[in-house]
Amino acid sequence: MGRARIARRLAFCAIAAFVLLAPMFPHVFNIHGKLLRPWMMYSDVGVGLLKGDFRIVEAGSTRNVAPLELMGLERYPRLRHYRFEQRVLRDGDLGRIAATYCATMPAGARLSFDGAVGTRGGWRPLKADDLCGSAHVGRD
Amino acid sequence: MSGAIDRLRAWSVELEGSTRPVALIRIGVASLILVRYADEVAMFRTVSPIGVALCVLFFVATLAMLVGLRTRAAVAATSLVLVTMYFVFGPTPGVHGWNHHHSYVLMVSTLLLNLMPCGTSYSVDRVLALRRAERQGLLPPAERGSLWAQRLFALQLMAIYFWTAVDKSDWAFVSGQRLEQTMVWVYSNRPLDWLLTAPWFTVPASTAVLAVEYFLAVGLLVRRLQPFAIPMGVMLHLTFYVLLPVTTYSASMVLLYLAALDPDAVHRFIDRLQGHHGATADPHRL
Repeated sequence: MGRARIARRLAFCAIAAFVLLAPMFPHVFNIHGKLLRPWMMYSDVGVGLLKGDFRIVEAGSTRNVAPLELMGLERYPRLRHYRFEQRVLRDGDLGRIAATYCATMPAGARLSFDGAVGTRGGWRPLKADDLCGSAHVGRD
Repeated sequence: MSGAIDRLRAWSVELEGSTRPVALIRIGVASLILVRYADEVAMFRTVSPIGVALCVLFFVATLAMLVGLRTRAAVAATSLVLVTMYFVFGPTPGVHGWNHHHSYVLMVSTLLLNLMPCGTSYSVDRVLALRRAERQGLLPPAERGSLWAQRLFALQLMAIYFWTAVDKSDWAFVSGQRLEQTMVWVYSNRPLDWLLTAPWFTVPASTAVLAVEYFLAVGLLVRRLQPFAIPMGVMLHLTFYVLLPVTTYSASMVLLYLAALDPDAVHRFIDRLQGHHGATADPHRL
């Protein structure tokens, strides 16, 4: 067998092994690296988004506000990286998102949220009372 | 056992045949590279000397790869550009998508093209080779070559489908929740919001995507399954293309299906398409 043929076989096996098995490191062993690309398309899209409604109680009346409306957005931004500030990723994010809206609310009005937040594991229930005051955020 | 190993060798490292499929992949990949990046690296976007150099090298290399002029050098230069864009510029703040999966597919495809005679067909190099042969009174050069690396494209497809399906193999995906999250982001306050975020769409759609991806991981590589796998794969990627911002990903994947086919069958199909049948077939005529 010629050297070129042996080299071709070795190269094929090496590249095939890399192509097929390299993703195992991030997927199975959670080991990440520049050359160890996981195949996770759209896996983080939607993480941190809110599903549900904000409730405003003021002067004896109640009304609901959708998350997009509360953020002052018509739609979620069309971004290649799918990251923007108004996502709920950790405690305190909900209050931060609501802060701008709170500034527009009359004194004595209460803002609460009852719904869910998107995570890699699906929707997780999320409740928060009195977001403009001392908010109590509850996650299940 | 040895028969199976021989068949595997003939399918992979010993593969020889028509160079038309890899030439079509070269043309397709170069076109997709231009579609994906041209606007972002064009001269009117440059703000630094590095940007100017990237722009010049990008357009010279990719256009030469597209038309098959000095193909080997062109593919090598395009590879260099894409590797730099992916690893060096991709992670920098303000640059979005250059290290995403669709960019990786384009980069890897170009890298693999270095290992194949992708300039032997459908190229300026071929026109020049035909003229040389004509001047010297020789037969036209054959559109054939060693395609030992062609099946690596197919293995790359297999890896993508398999591992992306592994990533989706959890309750959060199968129950439609992750797809719903994606659709909430993309479709909120758009006309089809009510449809694409509803459980009766997201649950069956998620299950179908998962099943099709596992099937494609195997089906594209097994000749008997290809008549089912290829239309299913094309439909899947068409659906992605219409519903989600996938940029060049869907088109790249479908293009690479060519690498899973028998190269001589593709050659014969093109002959039939162009009206060359049986005795009148002249695969070397331009």
